[in-house]
This record gives sequence, C-alpha cells and structure tokens, in this order.
Amino acid sequence: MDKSVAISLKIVGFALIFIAAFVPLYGLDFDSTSAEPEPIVLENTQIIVGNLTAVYYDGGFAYVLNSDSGLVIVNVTDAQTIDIIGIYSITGSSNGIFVADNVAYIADTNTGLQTVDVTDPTTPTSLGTYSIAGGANNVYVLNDYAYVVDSTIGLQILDVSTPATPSQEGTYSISGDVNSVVVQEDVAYVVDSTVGLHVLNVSDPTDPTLIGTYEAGNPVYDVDVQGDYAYIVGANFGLQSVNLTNPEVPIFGNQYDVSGDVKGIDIDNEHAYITDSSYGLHIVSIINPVVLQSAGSYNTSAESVALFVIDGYAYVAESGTGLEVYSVRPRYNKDSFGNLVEIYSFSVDYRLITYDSADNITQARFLQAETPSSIIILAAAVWFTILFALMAIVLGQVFQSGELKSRGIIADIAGGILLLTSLVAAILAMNRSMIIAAGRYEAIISGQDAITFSPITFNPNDSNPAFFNIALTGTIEPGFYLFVIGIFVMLTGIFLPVDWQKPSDSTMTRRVGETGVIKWIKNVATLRLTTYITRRLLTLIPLFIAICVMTFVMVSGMGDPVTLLLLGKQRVTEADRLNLTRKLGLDQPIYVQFVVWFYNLLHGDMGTSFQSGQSINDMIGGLVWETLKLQLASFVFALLIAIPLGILAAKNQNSWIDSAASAFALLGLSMPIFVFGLLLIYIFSGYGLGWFPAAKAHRVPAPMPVFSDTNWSLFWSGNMSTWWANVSERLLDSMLHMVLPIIALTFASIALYTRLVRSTMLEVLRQDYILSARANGLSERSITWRHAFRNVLIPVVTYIGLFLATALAGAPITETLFTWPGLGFKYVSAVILLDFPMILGTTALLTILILLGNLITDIVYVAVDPRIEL
Amino acid sequence: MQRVAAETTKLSFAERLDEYLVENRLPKSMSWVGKLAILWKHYYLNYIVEFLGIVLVVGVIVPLFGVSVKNVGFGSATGWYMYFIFVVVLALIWVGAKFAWGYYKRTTSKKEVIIAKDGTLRERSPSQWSLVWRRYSKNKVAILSGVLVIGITILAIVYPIIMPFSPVMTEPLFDAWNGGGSLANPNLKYPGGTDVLGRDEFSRLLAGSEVSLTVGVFSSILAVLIGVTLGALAGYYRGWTEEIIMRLTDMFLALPFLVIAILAVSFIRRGRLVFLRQIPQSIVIIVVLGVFGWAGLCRLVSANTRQIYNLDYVNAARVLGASNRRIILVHILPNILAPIIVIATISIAGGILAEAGLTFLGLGSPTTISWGQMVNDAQTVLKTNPELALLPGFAIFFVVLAFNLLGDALRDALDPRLRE
Repeated sequence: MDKSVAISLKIVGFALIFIAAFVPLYGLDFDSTSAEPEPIVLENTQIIVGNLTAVYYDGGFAYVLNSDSGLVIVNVTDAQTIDIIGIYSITGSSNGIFVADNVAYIADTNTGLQTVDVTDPTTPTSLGTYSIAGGANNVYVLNDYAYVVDSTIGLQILDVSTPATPSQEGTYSISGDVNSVVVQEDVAYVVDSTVGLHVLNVSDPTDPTLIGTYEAGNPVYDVDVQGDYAYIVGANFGLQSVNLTNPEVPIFGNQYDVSGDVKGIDIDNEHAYITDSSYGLHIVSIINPVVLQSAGSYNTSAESVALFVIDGYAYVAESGTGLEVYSVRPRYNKDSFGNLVEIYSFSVDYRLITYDSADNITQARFLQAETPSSIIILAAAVWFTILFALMAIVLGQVFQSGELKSRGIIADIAGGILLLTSLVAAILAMNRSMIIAAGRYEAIISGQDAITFSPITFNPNDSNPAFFNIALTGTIEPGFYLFVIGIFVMLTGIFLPVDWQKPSDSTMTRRVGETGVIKWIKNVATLRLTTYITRRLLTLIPLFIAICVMTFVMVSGMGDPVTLLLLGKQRVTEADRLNLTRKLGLDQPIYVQFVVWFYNLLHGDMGTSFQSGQSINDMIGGLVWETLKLQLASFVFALLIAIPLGILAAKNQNSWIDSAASAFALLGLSMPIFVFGLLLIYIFSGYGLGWFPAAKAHRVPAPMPVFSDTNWSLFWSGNMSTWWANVSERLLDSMLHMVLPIIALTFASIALYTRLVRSTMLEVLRQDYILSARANGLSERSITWRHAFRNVLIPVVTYIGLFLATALAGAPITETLFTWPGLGFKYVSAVILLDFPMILGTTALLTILILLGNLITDIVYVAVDPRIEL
Repeated sequence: MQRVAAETTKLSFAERLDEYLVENRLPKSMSWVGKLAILWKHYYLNYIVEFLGIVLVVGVIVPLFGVSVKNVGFGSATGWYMYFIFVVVLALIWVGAKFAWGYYKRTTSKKEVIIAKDGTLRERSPSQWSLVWRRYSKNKVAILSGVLVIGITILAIVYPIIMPFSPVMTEPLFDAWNGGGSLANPNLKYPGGTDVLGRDEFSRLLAGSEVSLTVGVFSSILAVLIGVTLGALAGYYRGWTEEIIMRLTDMFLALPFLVIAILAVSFIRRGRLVFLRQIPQSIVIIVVLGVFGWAGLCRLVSANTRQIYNLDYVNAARVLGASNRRIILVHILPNILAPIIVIATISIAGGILAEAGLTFLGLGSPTTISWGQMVNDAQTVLKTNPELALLPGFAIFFVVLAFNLLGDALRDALDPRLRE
C-alpha cells in the first residue's frame, strides 16, 4: 500500500473515532429550546355574558361571579368539555367568592355576605346572609371563620361554624376601600386602595391587632402569600413582592412591571399568575422573590379580571368573554434565578415539577430525555482518551520531527509558550466555570442569609428543604468545552518531548542576566535540579487530574447512596428522595459534580460526609494521625531490626545466619498480614494469654479529651495528678491497643527492608574503596559501620520518602482486622456505605502523598548520592 | 549419524518394533503385528488408547468403586455430565501433554556436532536453557519449590476427584452424630471440621485452591501481557510512544494499589452498571489486579529494551533487513525474558495475596469459594474454632511461599548476577 494512502486512512480512522466519541454526548440534548412547549395554552372557553368579577375553583367546579346573573357554576373536570351546570342568581353585583366544605361564601354589594350550599352544584341553594352596610368587597374563609373586607368598616371576622347564621366575632377598622384579604396561620394580610398592605394578628378572632403595614403608594387589588413573602398586585405597578421576614416592618422585595391594572393574583408552585386588564395573563417566577422574572405570558382577547390556578390549569374570568381555561407550564429559563443570571456556561434544566396535594405525590416531568449515566461515563471516557491521544500525537510529531528539533531553542521557547498559555488557559477556563458554579451557590446561600428567602421544596411538609435547587443538565456549553480543552492542551504541553534537563544555553539568557539578582535567578533557574523539579511538579498536575477523574468516575458509578441513606426510614416519598438527591448534589451530571468537587478540593474543602454530615477535612486529619501512629512505630521497629539483620546477613554471606535471615524475610513476605494478625489475636488477646486487647480501641470513656484546653489548664495550674490520670488512661489504652497491630505490621515490613539492606550491603562490600580500606588495615567493624553503613543507608533513606504514602495506603487490612479507627478502616467502611466524599477525599489525599513521595524520593536520592545524575 | 543416535539413545517400544519389522521380515501370517505397529506408530493409536483408558478408569471405574463423585458437579442435577466432561478434559490434557513432549523429543536432538575452526568435530556448547536447568536442578530449594508449585497446580486441577464432600452443600450439617454438624472440630470424617453453615472445611480448602491459583496465575499473565507489550513498545519506538506510555505508567504507579483495587472491585461488583455484576468474581479480581499491576514491569521492560536496542547484534539484524516486529520478538524479548519470568512468578504470589486481602475485606461474593473469604467468615468464631480461620490462612501462606521460593530460585537460575 502506498504510504500516503496508509497515512490518510489512519487520519480518517482517527477522525471517525473522534466523531464517534462525540456522538453520545451530542445525543443527549443539544437544543432543548426547540422542544419547549408554549407556557400558556388556551384549552377551552365557556361564554358567560356580563361583567365577571371573581372566580374560584373547588373539586372540579369553577365558581364564577357575574354581575348580571350571580353565581355561575361550571363543570371543569375535563378541560376539553366544560359547561355550565348551575346558576344561583344574586341581585346587585357580587365581588368576591370563597368555597369551603361545599359552602360558597359570596361577598356582594347589596346584602354583604351570602352563604350558598353547593353540595349539589346543579341546584345551589341559599343558606343564610349576614348584612353589611355598603356591601362587602371580598371574603376569605379559614377554620370556620370568614374574613370579610368592605369599604366602610374594614375587616370583619365572622364565625361561620354554622354557615346559615354567621355571627360577628371581631372587627378591625381600615378606612377606604379594602379590596382583598388572605389569611395564613393566624395572620391576615389585608390590602386596600389607600395604604397598601396591612398585616394583622388574628390569633384572637375577637380582637385583631395590627402587626405592621406596608405602603404601596398605589391602590392594591389583590394579595397572595408564600413563604416569607407577600405578593401584591394593583394599579400602576403590577406585581410587588414584600419581604415579611420581620412582619412588623415589611420591606419592598422586588417589582414586576405590568402595564395596566392587575386585578388578580394566584400563586401555585413557585410561580405567581397575574391577570392584567390590558394584556392578559402573566406567569412570574418567584423562585427568588427578590428577583421576579417572567416565566411566560399570554395575550387574552378581553379584559381578564380574576383567576384561579391549580394543577397546571388556570381558570381565568374575563369580562365580555366568560370563563377561559388555560393549561399553564411555566418556563424555567436562565433568568428566572435572578441574581444567578451568570450561569451561562451550563444550560439550565427545563423541568416541571408538580405537587399533587391530594395524592401527596411529586411529579417531575423532564423536557429533556433522561440519559443513563453509563452512556455519559462511556462517552466521557472515550472522549477523554481520544482527545488526549490525538493532541499528544499531533503536537508530539510536530515538535519532535523536522527542523524544530535541530533548533533546540525554538522548540524550547515554543514549548514553554505553549505550556504557559495552555496552563493559563486551563486555569482561566477552570476558574471561570468554578466562579460561575460558586457564584450560583454563594448567591443562594447569601440570599438565604440576608432575606431568609423561602426554600424551594417539592414537599410543603418537608422540614429539610433543598437549597441547591438549580440543576445543570446534559448540554455542554462553551465554558465547559474551554475547560476540557484547556486541560488537554495543558497535558499535551507538558508531554512535549523538549529536553528540559539541559540548562538552556541560548543567547537570550546569556544576554539578559549578567549581574546581581538576575544572574542569581538565571543560575538557579538554569540548574538541572531546578528544571528537573519544575518539570516533575508540572507533570504531577495532569497525573493528579487524570487519577481524580478516574476515581471520580468509578466512585460515581459505585451505587446509589440515596437509597442506602433512606434505607430503613419510614414513609419515604419520592419527594424525599428527590430532595436528598439534590441536597447531596447527585442530581447533576457527572462532570458538573466533578468540577464542583475538584474546585472545592483545590480550595481545601473535601466536602461533607454523606453518612455523618461531618466535614471530611475535620475527620481525615484525625484518621491520618491514627494511621500514622501505627505505621510510624512499625516503620521504626522494622528498621531497627532489619538494618542489623541485613548487615549481619551480608557480612556472613552464605552462612547459616544468611539463610536464616533470608528464610525469615521470606516468611514475612509470604504471610498474609491478616493471617498473622489473627494468629496474634488468638495467642495474645482475650482468647489465649489475654495480654493485649485486639479490638475496640479508643473506647475508654475519659473525663475529657487529652488535648483540650481544660486538660491543659489542669497541667498549667499544677494539678498534675488529675491531669496525669486523665492522660494516662487514654494513653495506656491507646498503647495497649497498638501493640498487636504494630507487631503484625512490623513483621510484614521487616522482610522488605532486610532484603534491601542485605543486597545493598553486598554491593557496597564489593566496591574498591572497601578493598582499599581493608588493605590499609582497618578493622572489620570500622569498615562495616564507618565506610559501608553510610552507603547502605541510601536506599533506606529514599524509602522514607515513599513511606508516608505506602503506609497510609497499606493500612486497610490491618486496621480492619484490629478495628483500629484509622484511615484504612474508615475507607473500607466508606466504600461499603457509599460515602462518596470520604472515598474521594481519601483517594485524593493518598494520590497526592504518593506523587509527592515519589518526587521527594527522587530528589533525596540525588541529594544523598552525588553519583546519580538527573 | 543416524546409526550413532540409534545406538546411544534409548528407543521407545514403537520404534524398536518398527526397527525389528524392518530388519527381520515377519511371516505373512503375522502381518497383523505389523499393521498394529504401524497403527500404533503412525496413527497415534497409543494416544487414543490412553485417552480411553483414563476416561474409563477415572470416569467410570473410580466412581463405581467407592469414591463419591456426587459432589463434583457441586450438587447439581447435571453433576454426572459435569464430571464426565471434567474427566474428558483431564484426559485430553494428559494426552496433549504427552504428545507435545513426544513431539519435542522427536524434533530436537540434544547432541549436535559442529565443526570447530581447527577442523575438529566438537559437541555444541550447551544452550542457555540447559545451563539454566543445570543451575536450577543443583538448588535443592528450587527443586522443592518447583515440586510444590506443580503439586499445588495439579491439586487445583484434580481436586474434584479427591474432594470428599461438596464445598457448597450443607450435608455435614445433618450428620452431627458422625462428626458433622455446625462448627464441628476436625475429625477423621471431616478433616478440617465444618464451618458455621455445616459445610466441610477440608473440601472448601481444596476448592479454594482453584480460585487462588486461577486469580494469581491469570492476573500475572494479564499484567505481564500489558506490561511487556507496552514496555517493549516504549523502549523500542521511543518518541511520543514512549512519552505516552511512560506517563500512563507514571499514573498507574501513583495509584494507591489496594485502595484503588477495593474501589474497582466494588465498582464492578456492586455498582450502577448492572451488566458488570454478571462477571464472575474471580474474573473481576483478575482484571483489576492485572490492569492495575503492570506498571512496574512496564518500566523495567522498557529500560531493558532500550538498553538492548543499542547493542550491535540488534543493529546487525536491522542491517540484514529484519522488520521491527521480528527484532522485538526474536532478538530483544528473549534477552529480557529472565527478569520478566522472575517478576511474573513473584507477581503470582502477589496476586494470590491481593485476592486474599480483597476477599478478606468482604468484597468477594458469597458464592465463590475463596480462602480470604473463608478467613473473613471464620473471624466471628475464632474463639471456638480457630482452625476455620487458620487453615485457609496457612493455605494462602504456603501457596504464596511456594511461589515466592520458585521466584527466588528462578532468579538464581536464570541470572545469577541478579541474586547479588
């Protein structure tokens, strides 16, 4: 085959694989806006002649007030086929209606309050009346009390436990036209045309008292309340949110401007629905009450007056037309999160969550198709690998071959620039994504701190609402691309086969620094060791990222911690599950989880444990110390035994001592540590001699922690006996528990060190300088300990660099056997309990330690042994 | 030459018969002997006869006379079929090994005469492998370890025949009056006692050898395959190939092995990707140990390859027009085989230890019989029945010891310089 054909085939093949790697990601959802339905759709219209004033919905029936005919009852059970099934005529104009327990309470201008029995909607019958001079404007019923507002008295509270004969309980006078009232939990929110909003305490119905007032400056027609916010609508201003965190001093939250008078408002599920006289219907997102955002609107043909929203349907009374039924589906767009508008690197999940109070079911409907996480994992893995390989190949080829290779300095500079730019690009991209993610989080938290904004929860009864409510979804947008590409460019920059080890001897560096500090910097910078260390440090970064990605993918696929956490709990609803998933941040796609986790990791925050809720940072320090206690002790003991043993074996090569040492080493190498540990437990702990305890370390109830201020104050005040009693109890317990694990660990590691020391010693003893020392008549002892021993220490010293990492990583089995509360034991239990942050934190820590340990080992090796060149 | 060889070497029965028939013509009435001899020699009748003999003896006569084979199929209804298949496979292995040995003997002659420079005939100097064998056979420990390893391997293959009870069925539980029951002490009927569920510990010990050896050997093979391939590629092709492979090696060297293995095993065995759970436990552990255990070998092979790459004979081969593949496979790999064999043997021991450790931590599946798992299960009854934990524990120890000894012995034999 022709060579060019082969090459082009290869390129095509690579391109195909490359495209194939992208396909699963593209398949997720790239254009969710096109699939998005209209937020408001007109479903049906029931023509009712006359001026409509109010609408109420109860049990499949819409109750519409009409100034001409009175109360019109419309069957809206099926939105497609609605019709009038009953009429109750009222003389004069009626203004407000409330239906509770098959009784309709109607506020009209003629009589005041009328109660109508609507048990049979086809034949509404009058129950009784309560006359109010001048007529009533609106009514609200809660717990057998009717709250009636009018234009003369203000607020009247009526006892309607027997709806036929309402009786007055108490009044609160407000001058001017009072338009509407809403009562929630002993607090009545009354709006009028002169002042604005009155917040009244009605815990004692006979004596309502004022808590606070809010001046709107314009006539307010209607009010609704959700969380700590009241939402008022009226003339000239549209919709206002009022912060009632401190009800005595209500403060302005935000305003949503609407041209024309707004007569009605209803709140359903994070959205306010308002009707305005000129345009029509608006949906306003109140997810963040401080920032009211449009979530859809509809231009009605006639003037809409009042509305009632429930179960995804809006029943709107329109003067001139009649009752119109709309299906509503609020649009969650990016802007609906208010001050979180900055989230443009990820698209926001369009999901509609409806809460059915009758069935107590939360339903989440996703506009985007759900993609199995396995596909994402697969795609991500293939994608990462291919991209990385491709860039490495291309750049490697370019920089290694041809003219650039012969001109070292050009390659040097080019490589350096590429490295730097890619590093900066990666950091910038990462930071950008991070700032966005963090900004979002901060905004939510700070919003919560400053104004106690009502948490968004799927289940109103849920006491543990999730604040982290904004979901980022399957679409990858430029920010993320930048991030990933930046990382890979950085990787390839580091992989460039530029000769870093030689001091750069270009004319540029020669010209730049001749004197003083610059010269010193130049000297240091061109040292081989410096470049070596720099290069190694730079290679650590991509290695660390790659390992983190790998472990993160594995950990994410390990199982479902939500199910595990909810196991054994009573009455777990789907809402609880969703809330917990969101709270743990697991509802987000895996790469977002990774970005957030990695960002936090780089800022020294490993997250909180799923199981205990403790900060991993706090936990892991103590665990590392516990593990180190064991490992350090066993390391020291092992060296103390292994070094003399190894030297002895080497000095008496092929004698019985040598064989015995080798055999001993072989035993230690072959014995599984848990078998040896079990043997120790069987012989020395409670089953046999009973000398040392085998488990349950650190469970002595000490009066106070050893390293606590109170204990130290005992020490400084001279109360030594109490202090010592306190300390010794813990100390003794700890020491006793440590004995068996240390023996087991020591036995395992002696083998390694003995072999190491023996082989090094043999090598050293064969050197010429030992021969010359011997020829000069030095004693064997002097030769061994003064001349040979120092060189034997070289490999041992280098092992210390690796000690930390290997020690921490090698502990799980021993610690599990002896139930020692260290890192390994907790790691194993975290794996079993699916405590993701704990697993990730441990692996990240160990990886860092191993990487740094390797680096330190190499550097120490050079420092100890000048013969070795970099 | 032919005559000399015929006189000095000991001929097989078939060959002697052949020779006899050639030299002394038989009467026509005895021509069937010749036919039989030809059949025996040229149509591999002997292999067929041996195969049938093994199947008959082990597959039919042994079960008929006393040895209980009902547990061979692990108590399933298809136990007999399983046993028969097992016996057939066993016989095939035997016949195959014999044929291979015969082929080797026929095709290679040990003694070759070469013409030296001064014109005299001399025996060729011994090959490298015969030198290795000479060094190996001198070492008593080496012979012992070899015998041990071969014995353990044979045991792990044929254990279903000598296993007295099924390792998974709880028949001994209902045999309390005859030494069985739950947590019985060792006795003659149940040599290892019985475990909590009333299964025969001795049978379980025997059955556990299969998993241990399989995991150890195959994980080592996998690691060697990956490590040697990548290492040779990196060392031979330099440049970006080396850069990529060495960075990959760095990454795998920086992984905390046990920690990652725990993670990987639980990811596969209990993770969200449900189809991964179908994979048997031993294969999972083999893959995990192999995939995360090749880095050290890769680095070694790459360094050795690079060293040999610069030697003259490699250049000579290249000048003669040998392809890269040929140079790697024929000229470089055989020369770095010694450390690879040693490391592979020692990594078998490491694999067995790691498998035991992982299953000891409770990551194994309860349906797989594994020594580590047995130790883990027996921890709770350590006080009353220490043998339940210590027997499998020491089984691990002895197997690992055997492989470690073999590794040391091979190292001494293959390259005496490595010892120092």
